[in-house]
Amino acid sequence: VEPQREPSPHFEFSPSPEPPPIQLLTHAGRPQRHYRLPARYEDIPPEGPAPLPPNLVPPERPTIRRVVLHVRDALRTGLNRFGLLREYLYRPSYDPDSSIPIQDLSNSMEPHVTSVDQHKECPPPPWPFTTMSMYLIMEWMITGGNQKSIAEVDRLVKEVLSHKAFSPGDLGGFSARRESRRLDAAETKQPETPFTGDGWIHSDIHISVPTGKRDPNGSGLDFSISGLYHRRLVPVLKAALVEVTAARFHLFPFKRIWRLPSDQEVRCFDEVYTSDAFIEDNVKLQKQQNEPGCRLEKVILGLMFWSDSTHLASFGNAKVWPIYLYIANLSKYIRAKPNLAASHHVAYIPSVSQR
Amino acid sequence: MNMLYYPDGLFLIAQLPDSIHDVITPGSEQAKVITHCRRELMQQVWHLMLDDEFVTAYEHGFVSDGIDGTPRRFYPRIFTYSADYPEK
Repeated sequence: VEPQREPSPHFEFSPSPEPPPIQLLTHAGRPQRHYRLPARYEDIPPEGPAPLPPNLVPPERPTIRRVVLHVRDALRTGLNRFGLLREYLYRPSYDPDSSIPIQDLSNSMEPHVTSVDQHKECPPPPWPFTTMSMYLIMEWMITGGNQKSIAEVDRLVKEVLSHKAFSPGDLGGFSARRESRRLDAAETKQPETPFTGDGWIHSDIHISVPTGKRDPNGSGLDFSISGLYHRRLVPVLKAALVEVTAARFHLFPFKRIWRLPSDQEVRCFDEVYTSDAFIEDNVKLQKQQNEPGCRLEKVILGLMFWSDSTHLASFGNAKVWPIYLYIANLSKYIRAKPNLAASHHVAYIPSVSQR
Repeated sequence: MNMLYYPDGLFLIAQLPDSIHDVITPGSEQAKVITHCRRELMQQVWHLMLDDEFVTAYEHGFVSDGIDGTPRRFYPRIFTYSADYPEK
């Protein structure tokens, strides 16, 4: 029995009620083959982990607690496209992977768009001048020849008066003497090191050097080394928790498990917060007595220190010896991203030791 | 300088100045004494960095609501420390 077909609206004007199916033909008049991309060329878009299952039973807190129960609210997420799941011992109250934009999952770099208008605008006048025009005039005065010649006047017109940042209106009340004084005063000011005001502490270190002689006091020769610049660790950690990247911190460790098609499960080690060390430390912390009067969630903030003496120049032996600190709660894929802020941090190295 | 990684904190350590040679008695043990001094320096640096404030935070935690506005008590734990031998 032929099924009843309604004429589709596309063929309304077709005289025949049953239009033949459209077949694409090759030049030779044969039906075209259906080509498929080989599987190895198939581009699988990256996918974040499967979301956490919804919290159906909210944990109830009894008002009077007599027995300390360490309730584990273990849970497993579903599988994502790649067969990966997460297994938590304690239900996390925060999941940074719940909304990862696709750009952050792939390596392809978006072209950096800079606004063109930014470059068109005039830069602020160089310190200590108040307007760009004053700076241009003063720069012309103190550079070039001592006695201004024809060439110098040409330079005045070319480099100062026709400069796009030059506007005669800015020169109201201009006095070359006063501007010179301003320049001189600025130069004699104490140079501020980048370490002032940024929580940097300069400390001297005392070590005891063995003298090889028996000392009744038991101590060697005291030797003082100057030049340790450091910051207090706790404020650095507190600052790291309010930075933009903090929204990506994994506060709760978990096991990453890969389930094979044969239902066999393989543990994946990919991050510090999926390691046994982190999980064990977290279990220990959850068992630890709460601070008196504090019922806040207890969370581990993982620290990773890295130190290596760094050569500053390709010749000579100018070296610094920095210690870097990274937060382990942040995925290595974010932690290891090239960031302009990094060079900003390291650019202000002041002291160069001679060894 | 090949700095690809963005550190959350940075600390700069002094190195043994040349004047250390003035206080070390010359002799066959000189190299060993220098090694000892470098190790001592590193120990003292960590002694300064792991200050009382940090130890208190390690034991009792500190409260921050920076992640999503919910206050939580954070306990710093050191998971990795990679460094070249300071005495080298």
